[in-house]
Amino acid sequence: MLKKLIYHEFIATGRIFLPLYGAFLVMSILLRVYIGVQQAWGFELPDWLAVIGAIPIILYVLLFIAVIAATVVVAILRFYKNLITEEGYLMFTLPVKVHQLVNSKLIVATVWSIISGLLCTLSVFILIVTSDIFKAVPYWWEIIYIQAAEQGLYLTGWLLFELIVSMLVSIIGSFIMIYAAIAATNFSSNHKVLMGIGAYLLINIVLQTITSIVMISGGFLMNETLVSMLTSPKNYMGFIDLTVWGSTAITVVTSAALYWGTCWVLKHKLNLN
Amino acid sequence: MSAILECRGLVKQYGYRRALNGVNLTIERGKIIGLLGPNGSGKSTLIKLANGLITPTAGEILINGKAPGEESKKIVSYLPDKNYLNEWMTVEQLIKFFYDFYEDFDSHVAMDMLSKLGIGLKERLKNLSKGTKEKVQLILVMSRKAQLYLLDEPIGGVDPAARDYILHTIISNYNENASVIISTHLISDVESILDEVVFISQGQIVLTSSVDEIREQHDKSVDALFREVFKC
Repeated sequence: MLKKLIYHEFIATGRIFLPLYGAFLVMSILLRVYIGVQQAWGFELPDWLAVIGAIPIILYVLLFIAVIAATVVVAILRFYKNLITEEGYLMFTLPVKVHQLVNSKLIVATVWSIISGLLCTLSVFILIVTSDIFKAVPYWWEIIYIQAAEQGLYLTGWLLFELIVSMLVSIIGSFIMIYAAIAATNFSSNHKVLMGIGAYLLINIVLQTITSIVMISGGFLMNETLVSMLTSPKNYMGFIDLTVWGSTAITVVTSAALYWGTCWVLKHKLNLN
Repeated sequence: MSAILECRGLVKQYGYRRALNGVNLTIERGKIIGLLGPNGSGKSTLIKLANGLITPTAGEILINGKAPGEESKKIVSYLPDKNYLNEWMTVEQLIKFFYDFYEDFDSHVAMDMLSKLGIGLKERLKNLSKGTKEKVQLILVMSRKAQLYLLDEPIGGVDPAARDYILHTIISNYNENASVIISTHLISDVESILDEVVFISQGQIVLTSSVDEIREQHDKSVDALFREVFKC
């Protein structure tokens, strides 16, 4: 059933993302051509036409923002509209488990976030990459790698792996936070949106408090280790490992609690108007 | 065989308002039951509780002996009193959706009924009239071979000709082991197809009876008795 839910969730969200992605890619290519033509012909627009000349850039920036914003906005709207408003009458009468409903939304929102991130990177490449830059990349990489290593930072596959894991965890954690706030709307019959916003703020405050307490007490407990890590470049990587995995662990624990709470509310306190 | 629906001391409180106040009710299989009551009497609340869309404040509601959940949803086909389908979807996408999730959904039956009504499969729901949307919803719900159909105001927003069609659809699509609960206050329209009636008022059941008993004992139609019981 989860597969079917995911399939239908992709259909429902793809009709927004795919045209947006298409427009963004086309705009990236057009802008690249526009800049290329401008450079090749060496023309400059007169001042009174400069505004028109800026339109492709403005459109590109707007689409860039839209691609990023859509991942969050669509995630909010899909969870709220599809589960809490009238459409919830259909979704909650399907013979599926509550956590499958949540998982399908979470997985699809995460996949779109990853695609959006990759697409933005690709778009920047489309805009700036020339064959010269391509050739220079290995050379730059060597310089950056050596310089970082001299400072005690080793840009290894492991570092890349931990950064990717922590980024994924934080993306998933952010969606779960949104879902938990939306699930809390079931506690109000008449002021659901207000309740959702209030719950989101409250969850944020509580999580930040927990994170601060854990960080500060961790800092006190491991005072000596931290000092030795920060005073010797040999141990910089250890410090990065500790902070990245530490903060990822906190996010995993808090997100797991919020995920459980979201499913519990949707199962036991569902209150569709 | 156990009752298809059973309520024991069922209470639902919304803030200060008690929508259901200690409902005890048993619905057997193979019947068409009218859940009749004035506006705000608790009909929709009872049906929503049976679907697990809201949770009881006290008491319990059982479908086929179990609390509403994944298993009960496999055997209950529900028509809400509002447009609950995704407006952007085409009729064809909706059929695929129902087919994917409900094992008892028969897409041939659905397509046959849609074609009889001249509703195109490629039509988007948002482009259909209110009445046509309601017909699409009813067709999807009645194309399931469910054990319990819960129809909340199925004829509320459509013209009399469409009402006849809807009622015909209901009686020709349910099997003898299934029960149909129709919530409505348009009694004269549904009276002819009902086996039993449940009168509900201010969150309490005030009468359960077969239609034949009402005619014999009270020498009245259900509609006349309803007007008498709920006289303002």
